[in-house]
Amino acid sequence: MSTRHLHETKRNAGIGLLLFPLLFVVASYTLWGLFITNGAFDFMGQRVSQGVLADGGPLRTVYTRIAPIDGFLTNMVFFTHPVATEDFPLGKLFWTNFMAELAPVLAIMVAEEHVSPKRGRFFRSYVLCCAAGCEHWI
Amino acid sequence: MCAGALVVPVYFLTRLLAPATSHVRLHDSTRATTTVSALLPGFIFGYIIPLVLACCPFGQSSFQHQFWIGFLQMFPALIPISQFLSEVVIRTVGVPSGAQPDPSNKQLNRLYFFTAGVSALVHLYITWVVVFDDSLTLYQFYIPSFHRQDFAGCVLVFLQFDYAIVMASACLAVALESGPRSSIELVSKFVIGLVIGPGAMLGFQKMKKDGMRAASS
Repeated sequence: MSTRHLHETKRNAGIGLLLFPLLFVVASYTLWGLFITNGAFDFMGQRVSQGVLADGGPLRTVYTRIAPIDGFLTNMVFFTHPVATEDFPLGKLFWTNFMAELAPVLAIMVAEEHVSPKRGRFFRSYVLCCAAGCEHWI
Repeated sequence: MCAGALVVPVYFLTRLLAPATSHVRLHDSTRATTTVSALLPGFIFGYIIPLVLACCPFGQSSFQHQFWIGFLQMFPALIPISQFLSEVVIRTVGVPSGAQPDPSNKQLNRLYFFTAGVSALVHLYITWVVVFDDSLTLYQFYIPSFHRQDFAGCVLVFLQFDYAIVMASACLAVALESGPRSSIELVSKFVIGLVIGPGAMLGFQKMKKDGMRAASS
């Protein structure tokens, strides 16, 4: 490996080491910081406990009859429902775009983990996919 | 609670910190084949179909609509499960005798280009809708707005930031993996990744590497 190539590799790694944590910090604030400070988080908790959607309609609470999974899905559906209805066309369009664009990123991560020679890749990719793909876990 | 934008940068950071595994992985044609054969059914049945049903209720009741939204949320779990089951089936049936490692990994490249195709179709659909709907603009679509104070507006802002950070992380990772020789090259590859999608960018990079490998051998 030439000196120049080594220098480029180190510089690229340095850029990654700087920018990925920065993106994580930005994500922490712009997602959860804003969602909590604007009151949406509390609103969500109140409405889910009352069994109603954000628009006042009935919220589905039974999916599998397994309580932990149903609780998990109820929260996810409450969160996603406002942007998956005709009442909010911009939200629905963006949600479609979001899910379709997220899929390639997940596919890349799963494929790369799948062909990784390390043991236990199935569990790693499983946890990774669940964590990255599910929009909210309560 | 968790979100993709928190996980994806950390994931790529861990890959950056442990690069030793990243160059061994693409030389097993059997694994590459199983990746494609396992992921494609998972994507089609676990992702595309629920997405269509969740987005196009076709006159379903609110409860049925909510069921498909909930089912769609489970798709990340369905992909590795289908991948695992497919591996079990292939292992049980047996790998074809005489299978040779395929350094070109065309199967894996096909998967990446498939993901790029999904992105391209969605982009075309969105462009179509925005162009023909006077009430929507690309500015509203991509730039978070804090004017809406209702819950739907908050969710949209959440998703817009989530989308931006996931895409930026993936495109940065792909641009860094290509080994750019200058900052300008890094930025240009990052921008190209955003435009054509990280899947297509990765596929092109791997094709380029295959070409260089073939030329040197």
